[in-house]
Amino acid sequence: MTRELNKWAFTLDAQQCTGCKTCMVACKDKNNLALGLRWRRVAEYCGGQWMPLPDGTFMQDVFTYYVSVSCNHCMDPICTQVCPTTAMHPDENGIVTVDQGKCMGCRYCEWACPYGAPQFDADAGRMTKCNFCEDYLSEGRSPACVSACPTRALGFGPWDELEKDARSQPDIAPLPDIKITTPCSVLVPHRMSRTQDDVTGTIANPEENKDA
Amino acid sequence: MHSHWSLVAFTLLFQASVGSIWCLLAAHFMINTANTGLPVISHLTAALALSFAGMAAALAHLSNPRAGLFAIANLRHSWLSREIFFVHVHAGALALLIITTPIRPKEFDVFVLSGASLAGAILLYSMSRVYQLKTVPSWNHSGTLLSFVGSALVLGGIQFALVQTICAMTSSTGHDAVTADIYVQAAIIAAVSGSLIKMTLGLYQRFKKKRRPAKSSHWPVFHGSGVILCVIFLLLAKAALVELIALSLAAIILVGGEISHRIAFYHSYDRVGL
Repeated sequence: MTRELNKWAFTLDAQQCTGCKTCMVACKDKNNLALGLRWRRVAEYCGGQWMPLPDGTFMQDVFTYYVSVSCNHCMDPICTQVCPTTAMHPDENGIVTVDQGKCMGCRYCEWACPYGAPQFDADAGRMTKCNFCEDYLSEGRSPACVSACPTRALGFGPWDELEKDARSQPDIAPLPDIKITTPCSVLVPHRMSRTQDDVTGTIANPEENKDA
Repeated sequence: MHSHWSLVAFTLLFQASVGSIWCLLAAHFMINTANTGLPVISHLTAALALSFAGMAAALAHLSNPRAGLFAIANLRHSWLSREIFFVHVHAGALALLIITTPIRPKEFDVFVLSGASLAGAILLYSMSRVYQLKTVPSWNHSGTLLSFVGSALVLGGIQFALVQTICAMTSSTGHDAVTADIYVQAAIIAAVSGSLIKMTLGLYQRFKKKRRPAKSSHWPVFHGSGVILCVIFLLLAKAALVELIALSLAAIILVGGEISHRIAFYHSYDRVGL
């Protein structure tokens, strides 16, 4: 898997994702993240209800699906645009990283990122975020979250190959409009996926997804 | 969202500083006399003190202030970088005016003061753009800029009027009292104008809330009460002690209103996506 990197991207097949959150745990374990920091999160999006029918019976349109999200290392990252010190910057492989020496802890990137990717480490007083396990990549290994996924719902690969995947449909709820940051990620939607402008569902586990 | 007290203090203090400098410049152009009744240095010192207090609040917001040295590294893209730059330009111009007073031929340097006012205006614009993020719809509209300009007029006007009134009461230099009153009244009109802007915005947001729920809005009660007291002050403008009491009460209510409004503003943060 080692090669001169251009741009890496994660893939998620939401149809395969069972919401087990092993990716979250693997990420926390690998990066030794403090309490409250979640570089990868799994949002459980659900909705629907029971509806009475004219014959006195009921039917339901309940739905639930999971979306595992980390930093998308976007093509047009809003975090790098707003960062006053240029601490948040894309490296030579397109991986958006934080220069800890330049970060002044203003948390403005946290406000701006619609994926909640930059997260504040209160102990260090700096922003932190997914770095695509660059150390693993340099050793030819997969990122920790990808290795840990038991259903192989999560994957990764070079963006120039992945972006041609016709199954990708990243405009699903509860994710934001992709036009905001042009995320580099492939998302194969769940069969129950709702469109990005859906208002019928809610995130069932907001405490696992809100800002740290 | 994390604690925002330092940001409340930073934004309000700088808006007060910018507003008071606008009032000082307007006072100069309004009555083009040789600084009759206008304690320029007192106004400049008060504005600079507010700026320094604002800077201290901004530093308190940062977890790693030492990296603040890099804060203007992204002027090309980041409105926060531009805001930080103009904070320093505005405060620097005020400090320059005060430091060079003994060596200047005239106490009132309209060019440097115009520069400070312009830097203040750009600072307010940058400050509003910092909050106009496309991922935060509740802030991403022109009402943010209008609200900040309103705050600058309210706080700057009331601060200018207070400094002017206190200087007029304590001064024994024989300033022209009538002209000094005109300055105060002009500053009060600025504060009332700012209050009216804020009240209109507050009412508009409440009206809009009925059509599309907003996370938070406020009743413009404070600003309305402040305006009433300012009008009372204008009506009683001949009784020195009563006018100072009315002005001080108006100032407390308006500043309280500004603080509560700014806290509500930060609470209205609601980002799209996750």
